[in-house]
Amino acid sequence: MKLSTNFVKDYIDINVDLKTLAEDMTKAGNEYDSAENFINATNLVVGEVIECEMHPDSDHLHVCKVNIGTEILQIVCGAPNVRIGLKVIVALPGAVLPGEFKIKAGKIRGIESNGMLCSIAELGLDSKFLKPEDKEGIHELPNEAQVGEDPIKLMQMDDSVIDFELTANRGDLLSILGMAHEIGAIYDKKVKEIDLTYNETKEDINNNFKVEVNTENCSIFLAKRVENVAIKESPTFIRNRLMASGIRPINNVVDISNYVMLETGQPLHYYDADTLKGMLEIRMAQNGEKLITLDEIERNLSSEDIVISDGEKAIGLAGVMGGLDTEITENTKNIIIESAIFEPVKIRKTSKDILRSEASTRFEKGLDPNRTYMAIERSCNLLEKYADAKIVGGLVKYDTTNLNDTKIDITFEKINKVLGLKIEKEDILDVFRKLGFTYEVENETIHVSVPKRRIDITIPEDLIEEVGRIYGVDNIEGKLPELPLKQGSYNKILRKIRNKMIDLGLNETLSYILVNDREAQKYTADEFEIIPLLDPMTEERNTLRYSMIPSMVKIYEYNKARNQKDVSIFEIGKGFFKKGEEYGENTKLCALMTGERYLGLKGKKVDFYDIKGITEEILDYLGYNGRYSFVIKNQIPQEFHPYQTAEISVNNDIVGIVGKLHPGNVKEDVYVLEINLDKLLEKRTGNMKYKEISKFPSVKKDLAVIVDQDITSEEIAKQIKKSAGSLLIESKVFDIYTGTGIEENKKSIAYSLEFGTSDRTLTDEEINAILEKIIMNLEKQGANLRK
Amino acid sequence: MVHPNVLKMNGYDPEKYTGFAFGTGLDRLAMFKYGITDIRLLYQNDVRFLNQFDRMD
Repeated sequence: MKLSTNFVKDYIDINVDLKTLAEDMTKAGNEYDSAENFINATNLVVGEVIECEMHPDSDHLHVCKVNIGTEILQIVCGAPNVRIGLKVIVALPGAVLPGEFKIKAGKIRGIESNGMLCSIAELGLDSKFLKPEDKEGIHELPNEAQVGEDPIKLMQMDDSVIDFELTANRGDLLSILGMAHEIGAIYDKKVKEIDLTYNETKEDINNNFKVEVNTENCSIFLAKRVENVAIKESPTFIRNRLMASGIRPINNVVDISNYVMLETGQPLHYYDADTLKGMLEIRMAQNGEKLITLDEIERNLSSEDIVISDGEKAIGLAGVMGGLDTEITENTKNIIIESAIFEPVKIRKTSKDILRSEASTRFEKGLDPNRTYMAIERSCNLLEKYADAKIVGGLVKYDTTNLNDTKIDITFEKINKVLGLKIEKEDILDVFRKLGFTYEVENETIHVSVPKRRIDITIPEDLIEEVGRIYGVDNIEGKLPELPLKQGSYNKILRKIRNKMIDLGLNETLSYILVNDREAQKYTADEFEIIPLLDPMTEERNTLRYSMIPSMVKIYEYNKARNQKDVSIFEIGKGFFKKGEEYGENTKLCALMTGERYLGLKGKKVDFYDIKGITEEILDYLGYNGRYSFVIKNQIPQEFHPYQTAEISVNNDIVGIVGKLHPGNVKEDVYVLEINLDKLLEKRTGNMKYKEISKFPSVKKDLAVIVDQDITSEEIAKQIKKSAGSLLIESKVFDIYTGTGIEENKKSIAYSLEFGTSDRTLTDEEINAILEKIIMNLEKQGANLRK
Repeated sequence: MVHPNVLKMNGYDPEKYTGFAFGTGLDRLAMFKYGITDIRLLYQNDVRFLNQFDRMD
């Protein structure tokens, strides 16, 4: 919201400089983006051209003598409209024009020039506000202009503008009156009355005009008739204030509708009454209904759009934009003024599809129905004054709103408790008084009446916020919390896992939880529903992720595109899902490795055993040693390599997946790991206990078997364990081999087995017997001993 | 302050509890500390960026 300070000063007496006002508003919770003079130029003066000769060395430059009152300046000017007798804006040497454009005395093609004659554009007025003649030459001041005076003041452009970035709840501040109330609360000043007086004829509009509301999405609709308007240019102050507020002036009638909207916050629509058929109907559009809006674009409407109809067809898109057929033109004589409130949610939707306008922005945030009446009256007041309008008596009225104040009860104690302060009772009541809220105190309770202009205030907490911000956030003493803040044990474990992964040589990443809806279904065989966003910012991030793998693959692709082939990364993050009506989220650990491994192992490519090894490191570190295995229980997701992928099972429950991405999709060897940490950590057992170290030496034996390619080493290891019984301490894979000497579709897996027991040394016979049993059972499974 | 409806939705009695929500903007502090000039670097996960943080400080 661009606030013209001249405009707001109509309603509030303040005498503070611009920066102070902007800062004080910010302290009260209304942040500003910029605070500047409307025309940001210095050292300007009104001059009169008293001599004007062609430049001897140019076919378009003129050499002028300009009287600025105190002296006569020679200035070279290139504008076609410069001539003797013209009153002009002179930028003196030393002047700074917008864009840090400094004016200096100097020579132009050999002729001395001491300043510049200015056009309006050179004063920094936005190009959308320029009239055709403004673009062609220097600005022509009226003849009455006094030589030597300040041209900015003369043109009534000595205004300043604060651009506020308001919070969504403060729709009331999208009006000059709202701003006046806010400034009044800060500086303890009363807001002045708005002039709503006008004369009206004895006729009654209700005799020949009616309004039918056939939707619940319109709570109030008022119509007033105004006749015989004279369409012309608006008075200077209206034009300037509209421009300062960012709105382009058009003609007095259209400008007044915008001016009143700025003042009251209530958007209005003026219809050319002679294009109507004696009525207006407010209804929902039919699907496929068409309407050509003011901007001459044909709009396709849906049953979600509220429209205004003339009884036959749609003539306006309620709250968003009027129709072309009924707009105010230069020939308009009679007007129907519409002042109404439409359902904010519907307006938001329509304006999102079609166009966001000054009107829709205000409707979206909700309005005070008292202002709906006020805006009509103010329109009449200004149209009578500045468009010579005759106001027809009576008002067509449809009103289901409640115009009364909102009543909220609150106690002094609650206010201080929530704010953590000890504000005196009188000071609290003083805040309500400054805000213009009336109240009654009954024992410890304050019955507060909040005017409808503050529709954002509905619950006691809203009042507490008002007390806090008007009392002054700066008056709150900074204190450190008196409670010890402790890291939760869950976060502590996550931190340990994180550090372990870093120790293992992986880089930690930070990715977005939003992914594309197609990716969200990938890399998992789990049953779940994805959670799409209702209103995504972009198609690329329109869904909450379930698996973190899509995020990690994105990072891999990002790096690959930048020629970074060695990527070893991990992240602990969230995955989201919906099952039935239940929504849920899980903390997950995800890792991705490709290219060369570890800095110290240059030249060694990452393989499946690296990522599996990392999985084991983490599981062992967390105390799952002996309780996990790598299995294939469910279907391997199709994005994974069918043979180099395994599920991670802990206590016979699948907690994650580790494997290679399918070479059909990813050309490089890319390995990923994902563990559902919530599921894993709930299986944690208590503290570790010391296990006795055997006094007797253990015996190591190696064993290599040849098996089919699709048999996993895990299956073989399981059989070895089962066959060996309690005397086997450990079995480890130390080699996997395919190639020369091994049949196709077969592989050789070599295990190192360690045997022992704590009460004696095992004999060769014992161990050989076990080995034989192992071999026999393995052969039953189709494995052959490699000799 | 946390809106009472938010407390209610999360199973806290707003009559009994109040909430205070704030963020420290850790990424901005990190930018100061390491002289990072573009905040997006923290979320792009370029390994040439990540690899620089392989030391204690």
